[in-house]
Amino acid sequence: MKTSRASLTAALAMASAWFGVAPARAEGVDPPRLFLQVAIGPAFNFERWSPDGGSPGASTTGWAPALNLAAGWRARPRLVVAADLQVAPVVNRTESYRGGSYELADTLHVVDTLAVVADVTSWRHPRFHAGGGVGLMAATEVDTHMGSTATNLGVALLAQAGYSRPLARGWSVGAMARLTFYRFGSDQPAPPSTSVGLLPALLVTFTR
Amino acid sequence: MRGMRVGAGLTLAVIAIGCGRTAPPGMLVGESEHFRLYVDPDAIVPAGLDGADGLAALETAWTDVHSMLQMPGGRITYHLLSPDHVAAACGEADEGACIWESRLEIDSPTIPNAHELNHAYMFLRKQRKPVPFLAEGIAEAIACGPDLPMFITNVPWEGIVGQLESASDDVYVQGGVFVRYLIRTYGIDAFLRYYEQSPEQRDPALFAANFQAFWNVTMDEAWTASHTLPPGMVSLGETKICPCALPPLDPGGAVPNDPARAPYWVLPEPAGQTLSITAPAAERVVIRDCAGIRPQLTGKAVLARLDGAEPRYVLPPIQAATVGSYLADDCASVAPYVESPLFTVAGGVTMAVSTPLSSVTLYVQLATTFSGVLRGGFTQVCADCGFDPGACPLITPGTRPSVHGPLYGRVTLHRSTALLTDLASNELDIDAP
Repeated sequence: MKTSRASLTAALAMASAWFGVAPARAEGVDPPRLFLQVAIGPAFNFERWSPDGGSPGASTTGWAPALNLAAGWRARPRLVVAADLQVAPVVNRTESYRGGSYELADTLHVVDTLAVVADVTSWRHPRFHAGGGVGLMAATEVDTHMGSTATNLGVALLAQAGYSRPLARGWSVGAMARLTFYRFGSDQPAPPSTSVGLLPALLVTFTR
Repeated sequence: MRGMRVGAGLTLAVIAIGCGRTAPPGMLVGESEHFRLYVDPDAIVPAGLDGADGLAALETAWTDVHSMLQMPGGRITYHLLSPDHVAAACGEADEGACIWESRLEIDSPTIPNAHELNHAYMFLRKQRKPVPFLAEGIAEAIACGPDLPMFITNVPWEGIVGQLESASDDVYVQGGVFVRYLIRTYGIDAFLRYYEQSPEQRDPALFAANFQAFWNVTMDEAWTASHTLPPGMVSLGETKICPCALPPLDPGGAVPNDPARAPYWVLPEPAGQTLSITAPAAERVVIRDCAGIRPQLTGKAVLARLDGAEPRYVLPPIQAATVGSYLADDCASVAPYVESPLFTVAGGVTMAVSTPLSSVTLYVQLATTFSGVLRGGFTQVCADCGFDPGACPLITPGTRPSVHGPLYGRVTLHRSTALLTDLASNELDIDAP
């Protein structure tokens, strides 16, 4: 019976989030157990590429729009555990290679992460929260001119901290800084190589 | 031919389809094993390549290049268009010709367009998208034609391998130089293996690492070598590689010119004998080496003794080809050369022999009756093979003595040890009096 009520609550919360018809809640009322977050903002990517075999490596930098979707539940009153999907297509990166800079024109370097995130809200300052997560990542190279794509898989760690304030209907709006660290390898084309990257992002968040 | 770009990117294809691209204008001429040919009524059709001959020309080109690329079967749709219609068909105003790889369609104002055909052949081999530097490089690597040799200056490669083909001519020119170097150095099979595993990302660092992993040579080393001559050597430039897989020239007299089925002839090497090739009126004989690295031989007529030399081919049109001992090591063995040596409009008679020596002395018998002024070519002329110094004095360089045929001439051909040539050559130039 208790389980059924929790399921019903979660379903209603999901429906209210989906349709946006939940009644307004006053600040201080316990938030629903279901946690939903949409975040968007600019991200900057720095990545270091190191091939096996002694050839010189390279580093790349570039800007990306980052989109973040998270869904989970509030395991404790101030602890959120969520599955977090982040998509950041870095547009036309600049490569630094042996002292020169080369724009990788008409390319996208899409850094996707799928992580489990734990986020804790401060007891003393309930509008502040911070957390981190671990997960998988996929780096996809897209040549928008030639049409070629290549995807490699790796792991990601992320840390985040943010501020939010209630908006309406159970939603809150805020800002969040997130730093994603990732690492992936590639076997094709030869030689095998390893890439490590940082993806700091400054996101506007909409949370329920 | 510049401006021939691969308009085959997925993006362009999607745009074209999305915009409802109409088929290029033209009538279906016919289909052959590997081609479907449409000809625009406004197209400029070269002589000898209209109708079914156009299809034959395409099949000839396929056969020739197949000897190098070994592409599998397929059927390429070829639209021979007017220059005005090419831009519309290719989707860009400055496009000289293009290929739509997804449809295996070539839109071109020329036939056969070796550059776009090479793109199609490579796509038939493997449907992938190497960086434009390599894709345009192989398209610029193989052709048999009148392209002038060029010596390309060295520029940093890092900025070129990441470029789009539309960024500059460097992708074509430098890509062509580099791919030709790789083919000449390592062979076509090794190059094709490399090409088909090369990165599809336009990333200089990845390109260089992949290159080194495959060839065990750094990109810097290969790039420098592709732009550098051996010490002490001089080059007049290099040009495209000709497969030289078409039938050889039959030196049996008059030569029928058929550009559809014989766009060139490989030169035979009759042992110890000399090929005599004469051009039609107002034309010149052009002989090139298949590798595209040697100076070309050209003249109104060519006498060539090429046994042991690098493979060569001759471009049409040709009036006649015969074989005989026209260039002989001793006067008694020389065969009479019956062409008139008076070529006042289109050059003289180019004489060439393969030799490991820096110079070689030969004899020529000009068997026709003529009177002229010797501007160059012989060191001594005589009415008979005696070459008596009293009756037949040595010709002082810079002088222009009157000569009267028939006569015997002695000539010393020089091979420049610094020039990248395997031939000793000279030009016999006899002008009208």
